[in-house]
Amino acid sequence: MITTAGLTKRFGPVVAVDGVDLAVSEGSRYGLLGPNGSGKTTLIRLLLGLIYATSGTIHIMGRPVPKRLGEILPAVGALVEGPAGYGHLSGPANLALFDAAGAGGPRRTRRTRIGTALTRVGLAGIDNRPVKSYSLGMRQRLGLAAALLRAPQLLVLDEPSNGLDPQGIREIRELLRELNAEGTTVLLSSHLLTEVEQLCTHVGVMDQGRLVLQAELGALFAPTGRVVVLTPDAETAVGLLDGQIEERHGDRLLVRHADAAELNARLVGQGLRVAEIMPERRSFEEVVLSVMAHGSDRVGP
Amino acid sequence: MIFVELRKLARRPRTWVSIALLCLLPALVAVFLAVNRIAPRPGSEPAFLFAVLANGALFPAAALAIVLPIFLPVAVAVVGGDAIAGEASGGTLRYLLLRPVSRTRLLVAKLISLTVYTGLAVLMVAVTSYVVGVSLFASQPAAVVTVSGTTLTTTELVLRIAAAMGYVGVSMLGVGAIALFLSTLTESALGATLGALAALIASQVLVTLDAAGSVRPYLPTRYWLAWIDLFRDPIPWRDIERGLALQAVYVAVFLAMAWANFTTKDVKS
Amino acid sequence: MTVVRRQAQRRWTLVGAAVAVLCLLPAAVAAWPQPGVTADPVKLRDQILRSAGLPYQGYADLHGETGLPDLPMLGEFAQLLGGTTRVRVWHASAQSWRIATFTATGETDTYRSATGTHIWDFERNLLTQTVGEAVRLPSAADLMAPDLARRLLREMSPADRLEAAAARRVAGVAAAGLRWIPSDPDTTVGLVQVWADPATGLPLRVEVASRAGRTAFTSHFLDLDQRAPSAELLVPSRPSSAGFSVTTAQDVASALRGVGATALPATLAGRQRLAAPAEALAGRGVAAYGAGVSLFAVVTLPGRIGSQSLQAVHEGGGVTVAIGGAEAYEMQTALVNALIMRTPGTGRNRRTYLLAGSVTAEVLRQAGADLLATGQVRP
Repeated sequence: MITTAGLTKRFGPVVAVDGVDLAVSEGSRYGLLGPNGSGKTTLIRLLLGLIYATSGTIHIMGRPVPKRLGEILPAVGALVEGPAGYGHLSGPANLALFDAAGAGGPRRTRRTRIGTALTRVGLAGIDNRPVKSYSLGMRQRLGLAAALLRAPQLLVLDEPSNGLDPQGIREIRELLRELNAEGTTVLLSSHLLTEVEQLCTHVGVMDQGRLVLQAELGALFAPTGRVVVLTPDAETAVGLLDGQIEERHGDRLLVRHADAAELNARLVGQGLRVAEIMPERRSFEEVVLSVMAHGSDRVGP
Repeated sequence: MIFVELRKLARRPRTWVSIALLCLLPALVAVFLAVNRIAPRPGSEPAFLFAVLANGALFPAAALAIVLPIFLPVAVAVVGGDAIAGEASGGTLRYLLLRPVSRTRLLVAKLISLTVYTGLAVLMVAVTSYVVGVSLFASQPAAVVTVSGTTLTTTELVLRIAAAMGYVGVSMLGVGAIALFLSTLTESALGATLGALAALIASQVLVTLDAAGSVRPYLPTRYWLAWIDLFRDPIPWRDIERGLALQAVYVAVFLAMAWANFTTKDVKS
Repeated sequence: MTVVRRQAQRRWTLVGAAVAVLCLLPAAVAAWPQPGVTADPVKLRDQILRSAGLPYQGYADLHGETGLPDLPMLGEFAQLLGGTTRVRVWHASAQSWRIATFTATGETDTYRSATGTHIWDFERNLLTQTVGEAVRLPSAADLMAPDLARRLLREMSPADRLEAAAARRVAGVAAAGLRWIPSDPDTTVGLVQVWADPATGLPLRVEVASRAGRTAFTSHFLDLDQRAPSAELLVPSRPSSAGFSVTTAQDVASALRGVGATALPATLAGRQRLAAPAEALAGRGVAAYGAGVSLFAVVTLPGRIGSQSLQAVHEGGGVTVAIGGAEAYEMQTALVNALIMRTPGTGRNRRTYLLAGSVTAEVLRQAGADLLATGQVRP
């Protein structure tokens, strides 16, 4: 769906996006993860042709960006760096203006399209209040509705859960899953690990402009070859497993062992009480942090 | 896209508030004149105002003279400066471009809506000032005297006022195009507006400066006052033709510059 | 470099080229080689002098760079010499013409016909009929290129240099030019250039330059039609709502009511007093002296006006000069020099003279000294 090669964007001396090779496959839910200022938004703007690359290439749906952007964008719904609207107009009026601004479909069905989009994002009962009186969450939903107006093949969402309460985040997550099941490829950016972990099938981690990790989410959670054992008989266990214990914190032992079941059998066979035993897996957070240098808003080493 | 822009213009409260203020100023002048009946000294600006007490039908011309030097260009510069920069700072520009709206078409649509706004403002000023003038002052439609001393019939007067309105409207387009160009340079609508006004004031200063005589014919405000020629008899077309051509050149040049800058500009807002 | 940057560069190059072409267009048109219009300067001069009966109509600009302070009686003349005046003219013959002087907020139309002169002043909403002839300062009508050129060229003396000037386009006409360099050492006029239609001899542009070579006065057509104007345009219209008045012609002296009979001498600084109709005024304190392009006027200013004018020149940058015991200030501009002088003494014997003209400051000072000498001889 989206491929980039060596994509670089400089703003003067600052390299905002640095040699990114992004690959978003069709039908996936791709999460672009990274701290604030890591270049996620710049990358999304590059993909959508709002800003132009210093070097490198972008292809969306097999067409080059920005050269054939005009053919690509009608099939794309986007939410970039927060929603925006004309504050003095109501939500539906804003959507009507946006719909009329581009090739969205015939005028007759405009009202239906707007109604459908508003229903999908949970704004079905909206009145004619001006947008400037909306809460942040309502604006976010309105922005999503604008992105969904045309039933896009590709949804590009920058921080879609901003301003939403936990219930709202969940609703949106369900909506995106639903859309994805209907065949829409979703690319979203977030600085929240859990959001990406819970929703996405693929993840790309950005740090200081570089795409430092890009993988299918499932592949990240391979066992580490260690087993976590929680036992009240820790002393005995240490004696028994001499040399295999890598760490001990009170009753919690980290044992180098390939098979948790076999280890359990052995410990129980020796009469030890085992409260908990499981193979150690790296958390998503650990995976992400291991590839990142440090938070980008931190100054100094 | 043009209709979208026109709808935005029509539904924006600022459009109507600014036009109302433009209409209010001549009305205020008229009320003071009618109450105090102290006519301005002949020969003082704005043109025609001293003649209004004698004939209220001339008040639209005086009203144009009142709003032309400052208020109308300010209003046009505000709308023009807001055109792209306002959308950028409001964040709506990126969504328009993602619809997708071609950047060139967006610029043209903005210029057309700016033109419509100018036309509307001039029309409203003329209509309200006619009503105000006829109701507050004596009106002898058959005996309107041209600047050259001949008299005009009502039809001729209406035609000439309409032509003057058209000319004043066109005169504003140069400033509008400058504001539109600056609007593509910056994200601050205010900055673009002030930039256009600075250009305007610079031009008005240079027009009066003899030492700047060599550049005077090319200044955007050089032929602004030529609409008064429409009230001379026979009408001298020379300055009016030049004024129209000059505004056309300004619009073409600044629209082209706006296009060159905007079509490949990074939209970072 | 990316495709986009190259596009941007191409766009800016395109726009830059278009703007450059637009900016250079006026310069290119101005520099466009004129058709080989060359005329023998002597023949051209004769042709110009014979062009008096030709009709014309059009627009013209009068532009002067001679800044004179506001002096009594100068009125419109100071504006003509020190600014730009846009006029529109319909000229059927020397006795039948109309000239409109445009201002930002109105216009003044002067109609000349067999019945006299009518002046329409829009701002005063007044039509004035003037009967009779009077001595007056030059008006816009006198400074129109055809009149001015003929008036000046008539003053040429055989010793003066006359040469051809490069042809130039004036109001769409490829005009042949001549340069006249006055030989009189006393005049401020260094060069007079006239361009005329080589077919008819109608002068289209006159430039008068100072001795330093600076063009101080230009009168030229912007638009020209050499057909006679339609007669109805030459008839003043009198709107029913406008005022109408009839006056006799105002001469420069009567504008200064109560000057008194100060007779001015027949010669000043070795220059002859000009003949009629100015002669009639000499007894009333106004006279002009000189010949050719070296001319100056002497005006006796009555008490209060005299003091005010003295003050105006003094504060307007006038330089104090020593002429006998008189209080005197002089002002020099590119083309016109002026000297204002108050004789010593008290009461009615005290006089203020204004001397101004296209002569050097030395001549004016000499004239002032002569005036002082004659004044002191009188009781």
